[in-house]
Amino acid sequence: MQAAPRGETLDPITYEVLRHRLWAINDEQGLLAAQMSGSPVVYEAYDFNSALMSYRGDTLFIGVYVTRLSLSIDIAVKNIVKDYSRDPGIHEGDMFLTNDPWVGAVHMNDYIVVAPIHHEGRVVCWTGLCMHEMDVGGPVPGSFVVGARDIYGEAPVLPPLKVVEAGRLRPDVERMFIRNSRTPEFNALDLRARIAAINKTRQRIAEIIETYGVDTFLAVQERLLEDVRRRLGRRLAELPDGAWYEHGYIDHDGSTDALYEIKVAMTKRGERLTFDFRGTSPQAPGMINCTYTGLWGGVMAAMLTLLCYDMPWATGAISGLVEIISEEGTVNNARHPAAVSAATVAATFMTFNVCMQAIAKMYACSERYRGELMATGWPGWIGANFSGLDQRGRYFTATMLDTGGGGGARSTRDGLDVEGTPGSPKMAMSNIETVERLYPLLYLYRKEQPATLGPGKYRGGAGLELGRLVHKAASPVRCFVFGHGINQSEARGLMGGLPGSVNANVVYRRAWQPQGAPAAGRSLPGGSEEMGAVEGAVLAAKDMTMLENGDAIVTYCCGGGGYGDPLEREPHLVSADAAQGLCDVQSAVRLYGVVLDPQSLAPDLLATAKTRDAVRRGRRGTSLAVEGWSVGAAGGA
Amino acid sequence: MDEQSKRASGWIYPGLRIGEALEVAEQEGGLVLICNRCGHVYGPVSRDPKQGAVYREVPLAEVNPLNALSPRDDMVCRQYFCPGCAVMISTNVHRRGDPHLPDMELAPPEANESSSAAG
Ligand SMILES: [Zn+2]
Repeated sequence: MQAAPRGETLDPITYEVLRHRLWAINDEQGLLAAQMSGSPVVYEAYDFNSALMSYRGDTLFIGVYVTRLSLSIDIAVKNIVKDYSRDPGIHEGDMFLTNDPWVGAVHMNDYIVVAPIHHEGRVVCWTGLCMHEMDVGGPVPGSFVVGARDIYGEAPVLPPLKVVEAGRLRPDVERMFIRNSRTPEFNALDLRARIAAINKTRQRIAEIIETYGVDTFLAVQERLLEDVRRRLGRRLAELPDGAWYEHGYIDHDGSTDALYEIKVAMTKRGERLTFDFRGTSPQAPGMINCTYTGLWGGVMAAMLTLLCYDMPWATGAISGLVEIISEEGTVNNARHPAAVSAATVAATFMTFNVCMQAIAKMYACSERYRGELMATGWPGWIGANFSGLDQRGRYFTATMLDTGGGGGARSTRDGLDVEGTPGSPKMAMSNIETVERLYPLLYLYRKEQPATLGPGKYRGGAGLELGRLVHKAASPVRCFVFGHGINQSEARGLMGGLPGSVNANVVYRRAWQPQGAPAAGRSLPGGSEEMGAVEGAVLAAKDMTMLENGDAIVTYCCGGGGYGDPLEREPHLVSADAAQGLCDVQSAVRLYGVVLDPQSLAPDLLATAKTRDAVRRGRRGTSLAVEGWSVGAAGGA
Repeated sequence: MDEQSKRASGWIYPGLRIGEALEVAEQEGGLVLICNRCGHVYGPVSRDPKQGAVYREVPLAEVNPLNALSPRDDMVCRQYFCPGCAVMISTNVHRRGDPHLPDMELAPPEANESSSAAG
């Protein structure tokens, strides 16, 4: 049974105090769970998130970790209320566990625990935690199943199960949860970490109710949702009406190196936004699809990042202003039994990217908000999983969270060089020392790679280039890679800025042998250019290869998209990039038409003006009239 | 609505800059998008400006040498320029030969205010 507020009047000070307290409680819940977890994916890379929901299951607060993980927790709550209220019932002290992508999870690695919080027999709010488990079973270590044709070839799916019943952990459900995993010790601890953190939230909510009364607590929930709805509505009203379009590709479905397109037509009228995905590719016979939960998460994460940066992340309020139009059976709204093991880093990721870009184009049309836009940054996931016998002879499997691309350019400045995962403010890059301690891998280097960035009046940030070496493994190491943005650039430019580079994984066999090092005088390579005579083999977007000790894998993470015509970049900014090693003299001419003095790196303004005139003449000489127009789904204004 | 409120709101008005090189202007009683570098008229404000631009397709590997690591050779960066002054106003990544994709279709101002007569 749900509670409902009894028209309690709420003074503004109490509201603000409790609003901030609930925000802190949700953040505390996430952080507590991470601190209790033993999995480096969670406690170090912060691949988890928490959500606090109203008594009706509307999200009040999303945590600041990986937003996409918690944006559909409310969908799980609403499905549990719909399906389980009568039987098996939702009672005080219960918690539910699920990784079902058609219920509320995004893919099977991201197990959700949700719990109702009761007061005097009534549900007064819901809370939930989602964590990425290192391995949840299925045919391959890490559970990202390259080559699976449907979900039956991937990890087991658990519909919501009552894992805690009236405050007691059910050992049968716990055993079922960990039985299929190759990392049962991590998963078991993660489950208990979630339960403990949720119990802390229950205690915190009880303290609020004891001090302020249940009606005040419920009234704060209503006021918060109304407040955010009003603030976002006002922001949308301040933006011009119109339609903005974007598309992106996901390359390789795990079996076939095909391209899948995600298209969006975003229409804004008054205080309402519509995201129309019609025209998106049909669902793939492989791991890259996401279900509606992933589609919803991708749209919401983009809205939170660009439209709601200064208001509480209450997606329960935002949903009233947004409509999503999508055809079931498409790559970002897949029907059962589609394969979805890479959903979070493929179709959901790409949905986020195209929505970010559409919102940025809308911002470009507003004097007030142009300064808030951002071209696509670090859009192309390039994941890797290593498994085998480690330096101690024990089995290991590790999904790496050690990559970082360049940030998208802004309308007033360059993108960040090597930024974190977009839309996930507190996700982190795993620590080199931890990885080297746990796994038979040695980092050769991590460095900013200027060749990755998208030029523009303001350039995108440079992405990372990293080299890892297999070292002291007791067996050959199996390496799965699952990236996109490998076949084509995903970091789109804005308003005349150019796209960032592709991502790439390149394997160098026998790049370094420790026993031969002193005699041969070979030090560890500090970049792909220092691999000596070893020829690199470029891996496909989804691929598997066996690595021996001394083999290196080099990963290029794409840079961010640029903003504005590169020929309009201030020459002194190009000179400053050159001084920092982010541009050389040849690239300055080729990308920006800027002539730099090879010694001082100072710009030659006269030569630059002449070069730029010549480039413009070249553009005129090689360009064609625009024909073959594709009318947008919104059908014009 | 006064000038300051229009600028703070979603109003589309002559002089409004779109991105860097585009601007809304009034012409023969209607609103158009022009190049704010050379005055070229792209077309009505409600039409994607790229329809009034020129373009070229550049293979991705020519845009950036690192893109040569891609196994595909059918991907291009489409670059759209002002026919007057050649400023680049838009880019996108496509399969060679795919139809053009619009960036934007601004609603004409009467959509902002229901009390105005439809134009
Ligand atoms: Zn022009």
